[in-house]
Amino acid sequence: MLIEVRNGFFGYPGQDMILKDINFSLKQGEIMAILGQNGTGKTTMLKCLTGILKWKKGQTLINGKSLDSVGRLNEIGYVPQAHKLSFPYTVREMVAMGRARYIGPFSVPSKEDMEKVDEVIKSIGIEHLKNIPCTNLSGGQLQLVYIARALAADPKVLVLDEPESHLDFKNQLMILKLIKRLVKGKNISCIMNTHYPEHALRISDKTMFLGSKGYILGKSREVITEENIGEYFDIHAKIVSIKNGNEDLSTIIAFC
Amino acid sequence: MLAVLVITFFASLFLGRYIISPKVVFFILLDSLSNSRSSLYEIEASIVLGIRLPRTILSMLIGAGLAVSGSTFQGLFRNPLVSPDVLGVSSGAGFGAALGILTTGISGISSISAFAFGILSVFLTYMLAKTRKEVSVMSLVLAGMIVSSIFNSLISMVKYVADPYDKLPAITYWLMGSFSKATFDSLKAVFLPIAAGIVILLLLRWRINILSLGDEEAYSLGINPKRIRLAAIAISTIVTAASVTVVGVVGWVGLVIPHISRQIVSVDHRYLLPASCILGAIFLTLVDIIARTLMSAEIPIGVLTAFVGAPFFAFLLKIVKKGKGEW
Repeated sequence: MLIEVRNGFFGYPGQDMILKDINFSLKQGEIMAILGQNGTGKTTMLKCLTGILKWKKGQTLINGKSLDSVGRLNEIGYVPQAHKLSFPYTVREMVAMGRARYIGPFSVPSKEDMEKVDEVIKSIGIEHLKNIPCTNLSGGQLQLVYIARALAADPKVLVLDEPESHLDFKNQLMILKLIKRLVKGKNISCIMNTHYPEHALRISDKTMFLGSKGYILGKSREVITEENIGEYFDIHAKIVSIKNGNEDLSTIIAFC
Repeated sequence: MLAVLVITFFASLFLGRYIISPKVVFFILLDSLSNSRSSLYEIEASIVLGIRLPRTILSMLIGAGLAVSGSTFQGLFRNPLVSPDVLGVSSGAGFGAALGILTTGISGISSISAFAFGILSVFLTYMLAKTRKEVSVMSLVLAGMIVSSIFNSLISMVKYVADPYDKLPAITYWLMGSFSKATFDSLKAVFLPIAAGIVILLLLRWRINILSLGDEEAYSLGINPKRIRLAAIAISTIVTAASVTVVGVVGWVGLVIPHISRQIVSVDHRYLLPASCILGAIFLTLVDIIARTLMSAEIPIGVLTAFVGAPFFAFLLKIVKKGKGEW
């Protein structure tokens, strides 16, 4: 058992609890997807479980150890949604910041840190972007940089907030494939938010549907059904499967 | 860049109303180092050692301090339009000095009062911005504006009641800033806080990169940004308040120098902070040379930094628009 959330409750100050009694656990090499409409608390959940926000009740455990003090995220790598940057740091500088937790307040990255950074940059395949300012990158490239930054800290759990949104078709697939490769290759756990049930179906082992009243959780193949999509996204949906060689491909058609 | 710094240093010793040839200056410096005083250039020696040397060191120190504080603040607040006095330190110190001049007229007391009110104003800003245990960048900047405007109105009040023949000019000159009263004593008084502040900020330089990403990302990278930000704000405030205490209000250095450094060196604070330190020292010393050589009466330094800094900034803005695009 690697990462576990027990009885997680959270509400923003002055508001009702948005997350109620969240419980799940994830093993090494497993991917969990969180699905839900906008405003149901997907991002909030990720922030709570990584410690950026504090659970009002309950806790996140990693290998049985509680992660309750803010800032102690040593085992979790968080990849935020791609967003605007204040300063045009280069890709290499940006990825180096992933090493921050290992570097004291009065020091700068050492040669070993930078070697690690270059190694990660290479493994993600963005070596050609190394010295380009992050502000000049496309959305997909920037997402890769954030993933590289999270990986630079050698996390045991990778948490991604809608990694494939705002990307074109090809880049969505590229990111999903990369996540799968990383999780299986490094034998880490991964939790990701997504708006696309078919992406969850494609790469995740477990899926959580988050709604305003509660949530359901199960194996992706079992829980991603037409009924659940209908209920949690408030639409009608059909799941269509086709065979491509010996690969089963599913897509979801939604209508009102 | 260091070479330019050294050249500026010596130029500042040669130049002035009374031009002393480089040869003589070197002679005097060597002489004072070896502790053997010859009577050969007595007047020149007293000018170089007694007036120009402390003045040059002080302008370099303060230029470096203001520029490093400015770079730090711009990083911390993730906003390139911020300068070290955004939290109200200059207005607070200005009021402190004005009050000191009005009530006592003793320069020592008005310096202490300037320093105390400078720190107090930032403390007020911080308390005002602190709502629900959280201090957001936006509320800090807004609180800074509020505190600044209160102290600015208090300054006007002091000026209004001040004796127009004696104290009012003193207050006005002080607010415009000047190095003319720089001596080894004033240098000694502020050397330690400013130099120590610069060193600590330089050591924190890589952490400021992390803070410049914003609180959430800092947390996600495993860093608690709060304490470091508070420390960096406190140090920058002390540096700025100490500077204002000896030379009055010197604007623009903390705003413009970080930008120039970012253009010619890097946005990475690891390199930006040392660069703005050196550039700030060069800039303020050069401006001071102009201040004391251009006209027979000295021009207040705060007036000149804006006069030189603003057009330069405008020029940069145009260049940047054409060239690299974003900052």
